[in-house]
Amino acid sequence: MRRLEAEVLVDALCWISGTREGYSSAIPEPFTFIPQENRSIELADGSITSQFLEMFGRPARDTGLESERDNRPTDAQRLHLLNSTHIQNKIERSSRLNGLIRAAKGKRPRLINSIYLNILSRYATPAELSAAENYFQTKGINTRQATNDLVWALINTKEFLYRH
Amino acid sequence: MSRQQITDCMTRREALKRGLFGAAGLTLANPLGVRARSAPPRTRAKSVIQIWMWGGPTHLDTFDPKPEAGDDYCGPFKKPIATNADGVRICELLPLLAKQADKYSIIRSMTHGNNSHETASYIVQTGREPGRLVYPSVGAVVSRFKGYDHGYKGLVPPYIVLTQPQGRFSEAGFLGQRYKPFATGGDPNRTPFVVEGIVAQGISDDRQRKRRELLHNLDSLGKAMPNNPHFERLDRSEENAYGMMFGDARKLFDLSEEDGETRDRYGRNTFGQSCLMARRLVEHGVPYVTINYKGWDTHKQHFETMRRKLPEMDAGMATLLQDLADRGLLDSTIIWWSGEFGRGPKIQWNPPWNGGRSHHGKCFCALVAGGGFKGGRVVGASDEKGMEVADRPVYPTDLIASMYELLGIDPEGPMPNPRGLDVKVMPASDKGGGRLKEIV
Repeated sequence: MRRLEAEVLVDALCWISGTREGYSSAIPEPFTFIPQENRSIELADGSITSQFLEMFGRPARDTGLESERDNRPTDAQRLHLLNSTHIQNKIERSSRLNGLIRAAKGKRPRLINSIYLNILSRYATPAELSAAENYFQTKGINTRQATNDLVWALINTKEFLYRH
Repeated sequence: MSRQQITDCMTRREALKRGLFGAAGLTLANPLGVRARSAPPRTRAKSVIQIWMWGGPTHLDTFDPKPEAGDDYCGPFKKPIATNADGVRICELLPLLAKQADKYSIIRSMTHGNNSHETASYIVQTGREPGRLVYPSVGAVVSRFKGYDHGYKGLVPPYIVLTQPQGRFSEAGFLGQRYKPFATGGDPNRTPFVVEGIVAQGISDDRQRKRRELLHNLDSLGKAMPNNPHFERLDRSEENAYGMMFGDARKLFDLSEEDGETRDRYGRNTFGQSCLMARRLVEHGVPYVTINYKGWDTHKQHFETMRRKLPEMDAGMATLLQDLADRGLLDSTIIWWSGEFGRGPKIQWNPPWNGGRSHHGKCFCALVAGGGFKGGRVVGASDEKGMEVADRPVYPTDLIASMYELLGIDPEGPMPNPRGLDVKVMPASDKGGGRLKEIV
């Protein structure tokens, strides 16, 4: 049982949402602004970083020791995933999510399952399916908001954050 | 030892509960070895507000004016004003601070000799020269010694940055991410002040609660493994997070609770409102608040920028000092104003600078107030042009160690850390004039 590393986590979130993190390097060669297609795991230098990566324990590579990486959970990390504008923006602006909604053609179980497949790589269990369906029927929350909240809930589950 | 003997001995947990470790001067890092130290010095300071002048503020055009050095050095600000401290004069663009000079002391002989932003920021905020280890900055050390490990029970984390963090050379160093600051993001001058993670725009409380319920309903793995320690930790973090979101932490960051007249006096700009926010946080008991005040790296357009920014700084700082004094908080709150270095006394009139100032780490200014520091004084002096230290050099180590003493942190004590390194809180200092005994 291991928590996903910072870079892997942010790359997964970027992939799910179809968004990118913008990294910049103080050293202008080879890139001052890291190309958007590059994944966070490919960042070449410990000094090319972001608040998210530092918060989730990516080492600054001062010592080059594996033990410098700190995967222990902190309250700040939980707060960030639960309620930061950074993550909320990723979900709300997600192009991939738009694609999934279109492909489901209005069939809710299909939408829910395609979200499950994209995030947790499995189908929803019957209990989960019914819980999600119930949520879509909540008063005062429209379909797009409910979809966003389903994505939000899944990326906050232990199953997503931990490798098991 | 027999099982009976083991259970008869007092467990570490019990010893902690009885506070024995603390009273005898033992630390968790070394429970058996350390000889009990003498009682810690009388501490008055409980909190620090650090006003970090990002980019390096000019020392000539703020607290160390040199009109006698000529136009090439003092530029257009030729008439420094007297303050309500005898014999102390500061730049004419700071009239409100001139009336508060009895509360702060100016150090005119700060020095470290480094002119690079990151290195100098590191040196000023850690008191150490760069080396193999990345040491923690003052905020992280205060968070370590006065935060959660020492019974801090505030609603918000003990080390807060308003509003953008500086990054790793000015943060927790080898202490690790637990002692990193909580950067609020957002802008306290806007309504609402969107504090990252605590205030979310566009999501109602009702929706927050409902989606939290959804999260619990979908937590299949968590339900399948109920006693896993990782997951228990995650659940506790979730409780704490929602406590912050729905509890009084949100009210703490809500500046509309202050009346408009107060907000006007601080200044309706990001810096002014950050000062007000810092006062609220310190009132609540937060041990360390950093206000990262950007825009002081004036290689170009220096004097225009100073005309714009100095009045803003003046209003914010002067109101903060007065407000803290009025509320009886100045005695227990250290205010530390400094940047990573000063700016070149000789103005660069030639292109491309056209009237700018370069970096100057050989001699610059810092300000300290409150928390046990005496006000109305000047420590050290620069030469007639402000280029070099003329008297009583003060190295960052000395200034930081003085602050630690006032906070009740032993500068010669061990620095507990998760990497098992054997380091002290501050290095021994053989340069300069030593700690700031003149103003303590």
